[in-house]
Amino acid sequence: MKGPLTLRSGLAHVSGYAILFAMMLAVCPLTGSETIRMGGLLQAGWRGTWDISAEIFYFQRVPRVVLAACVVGTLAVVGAAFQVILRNPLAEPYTLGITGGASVGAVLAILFPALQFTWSVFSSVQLFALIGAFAVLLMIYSLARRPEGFAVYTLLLAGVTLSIVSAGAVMFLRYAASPNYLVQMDRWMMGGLDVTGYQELAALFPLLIPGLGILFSCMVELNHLALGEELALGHGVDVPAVYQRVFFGGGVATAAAVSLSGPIGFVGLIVPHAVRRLSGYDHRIVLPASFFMGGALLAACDTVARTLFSPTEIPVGIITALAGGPLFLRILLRRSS
Amino acid sequence: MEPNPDLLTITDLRYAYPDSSWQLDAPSFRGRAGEIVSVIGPNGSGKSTLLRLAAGILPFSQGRIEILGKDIRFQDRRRIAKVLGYLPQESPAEFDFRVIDVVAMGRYAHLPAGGFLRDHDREVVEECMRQTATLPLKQRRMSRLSGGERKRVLLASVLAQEPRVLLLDEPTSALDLHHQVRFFAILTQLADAGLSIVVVTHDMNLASLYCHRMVLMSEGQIVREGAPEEVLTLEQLAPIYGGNFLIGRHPQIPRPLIYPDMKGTGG
Repeated sequence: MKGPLTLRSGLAHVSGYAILFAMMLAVCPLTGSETIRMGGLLQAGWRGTWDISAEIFYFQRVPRVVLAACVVGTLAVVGAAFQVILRNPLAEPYTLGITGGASVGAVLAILFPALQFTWSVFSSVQLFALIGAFAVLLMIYSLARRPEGFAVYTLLLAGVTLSIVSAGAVMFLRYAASPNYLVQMDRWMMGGLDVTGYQELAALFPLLIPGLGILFSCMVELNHLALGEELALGHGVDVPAVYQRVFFGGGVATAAAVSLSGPIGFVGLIVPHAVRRLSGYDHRIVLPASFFMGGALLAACDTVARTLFSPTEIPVGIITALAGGPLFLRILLRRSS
Repeated sequence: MEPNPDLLTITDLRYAYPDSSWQLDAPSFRGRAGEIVSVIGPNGSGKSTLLRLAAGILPFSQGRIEILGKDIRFQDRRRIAKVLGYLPQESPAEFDFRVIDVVAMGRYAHLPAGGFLRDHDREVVEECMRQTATLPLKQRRMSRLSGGERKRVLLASVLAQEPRVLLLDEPTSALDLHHQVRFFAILTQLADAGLSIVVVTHDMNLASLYCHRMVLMSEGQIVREGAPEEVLTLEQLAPIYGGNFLIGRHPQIPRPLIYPDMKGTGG
């Protein structure tokens, strides 16, 4: 690409990542401890006769892989946007303390049996995690809001502080909890993708899609903000409005993702950097490519987590850290040299 | 002869930062087409604040700022950006864009959603790079540029807005003499093309040589405004900067220059 980005060159670039994403989504559900019979899948699709292989494929692996890809793809997009508005390359979706709030909500829902219910497509754990995440989001917004926009460093510091307070609250709740609940809490905190059927996905999308939509509507403006707030204003960008959109779009998308999967760390931090190293710094490429790369990466990591010590599954966060970290370093070193 | 039209007009402007007793007063300030005006003054005198206010970056409640006769408070940022270019003192470098991408970003206010350049935009971008001598750098990453090259690229990005008024905050600070002179030579060409240029600078000699008018500020007030020979006098400068300097003349053009007084007899 010699000149400035065109719609055609942008689409060509992003489609490379999209193909990788689609391949992972197609291949990963076929892999696991139970061998999937292709004949069974086709019969289920055409004739409606379901064998065990089709049940596992359509109601366990497909929703799980789709969930993993969408959740982590979203976290990578939010990470890319937050790194710009927080002027911090180490920012990630969890920097604003949203996960901390979600954790407190989830742990409360697990701790008190009276709070365990199902409402519409939401489980109580998911609903309370959402409430906790939104409470933190509103608290940070009220702390960092200024007449002329956002106080970025207050945003950052308030996020870090609320994360610490939330961690303290979670520790207290764990201390007070009966040991019976501790395992359930730990599994949530490690980040899990245990879904059966499409109910959880249905609960995820009403918040995820608007959140992502808002972020994607800011792609051009994020480029200008990356050059500095004042130069962006000079170029004609309504900077306070962009901050507000990225804050709420990113916040809502993160809350939706975390409420369902628990915290899956690391990917939201490194995927945007990897994409920038591979494809440059234009956020019209970085944001969609981060979604596809994050999604593809997690679909692959989840498959490894399901198969490595089959039939035992290990938390996917362990795989993302162990495999993703060296991969990221390799990209970093390759480009530096 | 009729004076050039005023493109930037500031009237009765008063501004105070929240929780601060410091206040800026600018009863009258004009930027005319075809002129370079330098704003000089010691640190904290309000030069950059004046520029930020004029660029519409700092919101104000008292006074009036007009660009091409229109009050900037009633215009959205895109509309302002089509007539006014602002180059801040610093811009972060964490995101390593290519030179061509940075210059192209200057077209933002003229582009539809998506920010993709059309043929005319590409021509403007190329012309701005030619004007600022940055065309050979266009594929380079910003991190690979020298300070002077980087400043010229950012100027090209601002010029791509096709502004009529250009506000520059210390554009030549931290540049070597060669790059300083080169930068001001570009500004002279732009002024000759009809732009109104306001430059905040600490370099009074360069300002004297290249600017048509100078504005001297101290403690938030405009102390003196006029031609370089009217502003760069011991009488004007000594109360503000102290008296340890001498004023001479450039050997080729009748412009004042300032020298440090090595024997301590100045003032």
